[in-house]
Amino acid sequence: MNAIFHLNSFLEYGFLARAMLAGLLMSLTCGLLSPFVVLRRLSFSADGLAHASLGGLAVGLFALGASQVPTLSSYLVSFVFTCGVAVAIAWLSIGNRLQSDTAVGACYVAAFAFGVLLLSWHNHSTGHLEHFFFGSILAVNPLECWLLAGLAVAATLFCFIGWRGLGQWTFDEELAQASGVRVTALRYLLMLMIAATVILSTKVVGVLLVTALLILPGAVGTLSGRSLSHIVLLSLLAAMSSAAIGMIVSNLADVPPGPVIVLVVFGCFLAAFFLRRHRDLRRSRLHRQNSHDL
Amino acid sequence: MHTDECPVLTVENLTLDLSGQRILRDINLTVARGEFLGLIGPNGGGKTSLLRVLLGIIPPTSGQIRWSGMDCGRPRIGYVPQRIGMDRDYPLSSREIVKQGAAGSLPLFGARRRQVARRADELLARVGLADQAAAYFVNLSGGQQRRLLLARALMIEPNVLLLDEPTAGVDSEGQDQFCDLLEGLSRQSITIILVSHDIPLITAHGDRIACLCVGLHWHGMARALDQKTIQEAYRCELERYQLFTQRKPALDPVDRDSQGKTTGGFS
Repeated sequence: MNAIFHLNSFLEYGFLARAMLAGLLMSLTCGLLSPFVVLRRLSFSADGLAHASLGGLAVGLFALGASQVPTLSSYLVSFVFTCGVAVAIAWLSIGNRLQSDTAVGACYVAAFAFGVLLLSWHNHSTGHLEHFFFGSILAVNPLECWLLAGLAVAATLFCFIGWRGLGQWTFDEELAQASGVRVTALRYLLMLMIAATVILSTKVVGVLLVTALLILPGAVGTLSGRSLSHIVLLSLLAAMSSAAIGMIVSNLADVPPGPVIVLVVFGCFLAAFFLRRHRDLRRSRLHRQNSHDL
Repeated sequence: MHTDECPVLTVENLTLDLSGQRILRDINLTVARGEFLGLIGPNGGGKTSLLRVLLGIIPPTSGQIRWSGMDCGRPRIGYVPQRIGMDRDYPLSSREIVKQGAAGSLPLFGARRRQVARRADELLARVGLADQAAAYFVNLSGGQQRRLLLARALMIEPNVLLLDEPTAGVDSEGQDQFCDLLEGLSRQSITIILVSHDIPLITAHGDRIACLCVGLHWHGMARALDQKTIQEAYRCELERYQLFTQRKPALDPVDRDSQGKTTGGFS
């Protein structure tokens, strides 16, 4: 009865409905992008951008008048800053300019440190750093919901239009180029999509926890699926169900939603990992048995 | 020889510089439709770079590449690379990897999806991997991986096939099977450019051989390859070695060859 009352509260209270919508839109975007992040080994880049986005958020808040609530303009400034970091990482990683992990490590720590400094200064009059780190999904406003919806549409279009190219790119960059896939454009676009995702995720799960949503759903998909479409569908399922379950559980237990969402998606990852291990062991046992029979 | 007179590829005065180093110099080459051209040469001689330039992955520093004699202008080029950059735990099955090779950029639905799946299965059977359709790429042997990549390259029904050492690390029986497969494709008027260090293999299956060592050192009919050509190519490799390291190698392999201490060559 109590649980039903709690579920009803998502319909009764506007801020809760908005939070659920924001969580689902965020997880839709992350679920779509995550398989490509995992398959292209961009997990560290995604993590780096998530940290670097703090610098962008700080610049956005600081440059545009110290308002406690981020506005469209502050999001735009943040996006431009984080995109700058994303482009720098992508550019440094092309060819033999620099090892990609070195490029990420060099760029993100600088941007992150810059963001912490700016926010610490800014913090005398406004908010707390924890809100940026771990999110405050219940404070999501309608503007942020619209921005998240726009991002979800952009991510869907990106995956649909670039589907085959993305698939080829995940297998081999040179083969993809030989087939006429614009690999450089795909790399930059994916990095820009990740930059936008981490910026808008600040309220939902925070810049530190968004990495989990950009990596774990894709890991679930790659552990369980054998075709790209299955991998992306499983990733979407893991991300969106984790967001919905996490929101409901956090409302029932009265705990912060961001960490709960991340722990639920981690649970999905563990389940996929052990199922895969079980499947592999059973297959190798069958193989040994067949060899023995022959 | 399964060629007709119509040239498919004409390369004129092609030069490529990378990072201040001359990789290819004044390459002039014509390849006819259905021709099986074997491209040999020492390591670092520019063979893979030439393929990359032909594929459009690297723009040439100067010179011209003309594809002609195609029904629809631009050729469909299938490519089997020397190495694959995928991860060990790449999760897609062999069938899915072959399906990836199909033309187009949007997701496949309905009849087109079924058609691509059918063609992928046909090609897997053609390269002798029908029973490995569900296997992961990393679980295939080196020879099977090469055949899978060939099946993938054939998904677009190519006019031209560029293959970069596809028989490296493959046993002699596998090599012959692979080359028989290529000969069959050549008979279907598919132009083949095969990079390999295996001269006997190329002379057995190819129509023509070109020896590349920065410049196009020599090219002619497969049977015209002689020991002098091999020695010349080797000397060229030594010159490059000295250029890189600014020191003289301990012993000239050509001299060693003349002393009977080494067999030399590209085997």
